[in-house]
Amino acid sequence: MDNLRVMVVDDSSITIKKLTQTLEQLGHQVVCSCKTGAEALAYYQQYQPDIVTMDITMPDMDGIEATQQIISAFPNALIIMVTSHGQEQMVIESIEMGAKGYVLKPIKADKLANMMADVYKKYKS
Amino acid sequence: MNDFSYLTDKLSSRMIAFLNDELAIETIDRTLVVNTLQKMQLNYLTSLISVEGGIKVFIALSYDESLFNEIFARYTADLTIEDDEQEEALIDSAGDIINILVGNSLADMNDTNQKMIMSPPIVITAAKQIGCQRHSLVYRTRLVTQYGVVDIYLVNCLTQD
Repeated sequence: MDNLRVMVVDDSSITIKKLTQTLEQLGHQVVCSCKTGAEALAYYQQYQPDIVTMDITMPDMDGIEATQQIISAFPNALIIMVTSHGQEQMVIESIEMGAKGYVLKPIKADKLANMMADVYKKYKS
Repeated sequence: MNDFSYLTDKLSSRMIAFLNDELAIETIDRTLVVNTLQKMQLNYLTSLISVEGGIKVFIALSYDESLFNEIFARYTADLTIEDDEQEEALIDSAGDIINILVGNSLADMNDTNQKMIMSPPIVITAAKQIGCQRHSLVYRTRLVTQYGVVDIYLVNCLTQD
């Protein structure tokens, strides 16, 4: 599973760089990235990516609300939450809002690749 | 062991594992001090997160300059960072690390399925000390590495007279 168009949403420039590098090494294309939940909806509309990786904790609008807004406007959007263990209840909320899966930080390439493949196969085939 | 002692232990164990597994930095020594402090003495760079939910605490990591520079170099070793991105990258790296550390540690104690809300990280470089609420109980674990120390503070904000 490669060559997906991916949007990365995270308030950390380093996480964006790390995710972008990992995704490109996995054969995907990062078509855009942004640091706020508010930007995420506008960018999704503009770029229509195959998959979104979404941070949960962000300063303005958190990843749960951003997920809810994207799914409201684009019900078929594929969003994977990228988070740390302790936010388990927030991950559950995200899934209830329409996110399709999650990966845990620190990000491991194999787990990210597996989650993206599982989500894409399940919801796009 | 109460929740605060348990979380303090998890934070230091997770930090030792993160330094070793992700950055190949070995921890030489670990010491724990529990005290009621009026002020927290800070090192070169400090990152902070507050947690609310099943437990209400304030957590800080305060690094020696030499240790944080080594951590930053290793954490970003495979990334291209332009000169004008250095300051933001340094702050974001410190934020990433405390976010991972606290999130992972909370998972170890979150068996009640209570929603725990972590604030976005705050990173400060110029401060020398932080004043604490009177009689706040402060748990400080100092990790010593060959590059310097990192102090892990956990402040129990609810302790009153």
